[in-house]
Amino acid sequence: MPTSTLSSLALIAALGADPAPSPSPSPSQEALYRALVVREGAPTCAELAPLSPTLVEDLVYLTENAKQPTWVGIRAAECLLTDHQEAALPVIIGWMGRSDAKGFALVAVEKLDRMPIDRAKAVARAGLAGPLAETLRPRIARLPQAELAALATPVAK
Amino acid sequence: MGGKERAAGRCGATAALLMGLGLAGCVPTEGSGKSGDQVSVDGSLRTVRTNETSQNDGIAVVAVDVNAGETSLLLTAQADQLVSVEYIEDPSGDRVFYWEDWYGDYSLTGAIFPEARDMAVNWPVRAADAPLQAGIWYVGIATTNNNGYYVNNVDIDLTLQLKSDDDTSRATVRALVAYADGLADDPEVVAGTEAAVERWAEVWAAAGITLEARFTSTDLDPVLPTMYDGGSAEIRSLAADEGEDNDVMVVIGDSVGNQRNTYGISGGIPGTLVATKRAAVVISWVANAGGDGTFEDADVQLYGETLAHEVGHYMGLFHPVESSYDYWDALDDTPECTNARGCENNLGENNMFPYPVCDFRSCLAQDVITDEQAGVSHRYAGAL
Repeated sequence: MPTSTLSSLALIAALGADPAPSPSPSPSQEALYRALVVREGAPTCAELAPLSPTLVEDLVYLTENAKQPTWVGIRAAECLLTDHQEAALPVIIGWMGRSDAKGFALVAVEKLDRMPIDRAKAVARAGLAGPLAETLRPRIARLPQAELAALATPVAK
Repeated sequence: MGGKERAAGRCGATAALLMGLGLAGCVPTEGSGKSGDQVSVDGSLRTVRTNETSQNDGIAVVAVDVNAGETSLLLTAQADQLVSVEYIEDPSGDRVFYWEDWYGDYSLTGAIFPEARDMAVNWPVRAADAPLQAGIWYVGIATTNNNGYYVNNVDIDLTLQLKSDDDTSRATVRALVAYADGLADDPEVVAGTEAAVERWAEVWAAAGITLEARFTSTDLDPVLPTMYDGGSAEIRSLAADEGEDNDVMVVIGDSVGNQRNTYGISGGIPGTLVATKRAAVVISWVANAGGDGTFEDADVQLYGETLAHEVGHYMGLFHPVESSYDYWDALDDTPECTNARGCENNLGENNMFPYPVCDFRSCLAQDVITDEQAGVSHRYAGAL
């Protein structure tokens, strides 16, 4: 399915608190997991595409369900942030407001410079307004884009 | 520029050609014991700082005066061109190592690859390699450009570190664990890292290596420099300011190189003990904590095993098999497997296996270090 036609609602559902047992991974989710498990030299996001006909949904699945090794979820998140940020924006914004998504939120801050400025600002603002603000603020303040860094600078009274 | 591509070059053939032209290519020159050399001794580690210049064949010949009782040599070279090891000759003139012999399916040292402007080579690597003996050894250092061609007349700063320790069953490694800016103030990162270092120490203890770790905070950007692309001046400064000539530096940051794929990198196989741009193992704590950014017990185990794995690279260990299953280390006691199932069955618990063997929820412990792997680590000059 082209990512542009993905339903944001489906992504939001995938993002949810998920009290129910996780479904078993599909073959494509399993294939992505196997590709991302290596310690060094994982495939690029583009190289993952042939492994899944529903790449964005599968990557979101990995962020929520691949607990070990820890870097599989992080790599899946990075792929969403760099190559599929428009389709995954609800998920990304969701991370910024979740205290149990600190790792994903930190990765998102690092990738803000790869987003259109308005999108980056929205993600940054979501982080600064949420429970991870204390952690994210100094990272956002370090960003090279002045417009983004300024969001983390206290306004003089 | 030498005008000769390294992959096609042999020092001996080049020397014969140059001799015929009346030039003195590949003739050893005294490289240590020169006036101006700086010599220091710290316990069982003798350090000599000197310099040399590559000759008309693009190779600098470094003479290393090995004393009786010295068992390992770590040579670090830094230049403004790419540097790599060409050969090693023992005092009787036998060439005990030649780069091209290891430019294939089996890996002995990363020092053969001209990938940076600094390079470290440790000798011997394996029990099967020619042991150090007293006398003058010669190490050929190639200076090449980015296109792989030898370059002449390149000045090289050299640090020779010679270890006197013939006990390959027990050793102590000193590690400096340096937190990037702000991380030392994050209780989650500190607790998780300290617990992981304990796991790292457990893994190594089984191989007879005692880990002595000390911790420090720095003002490094948490987005750490990658050790690819030549490392960074910040790493060299940190190593010079905080490190010592007998410790391995491990830098903890949020991420490495602001790019995916790399969550832990060793600054060479092996890495150096002196201050260079790649004098560190860099590790992402976020990648080891996962999406929630917290360290559960399973995360700590994996983080600690990853630290042991990456610093294992730094001490000269390769993956027993690469994840393509068609390249192997040079050791005899790591089975030579050729597919995922066979490799995971035979090596999945080995600490240097290229990936942890996991399902979505848990991973096998990877704490096995074979006798030959332990031997490589013990022969590293920083294992004292």
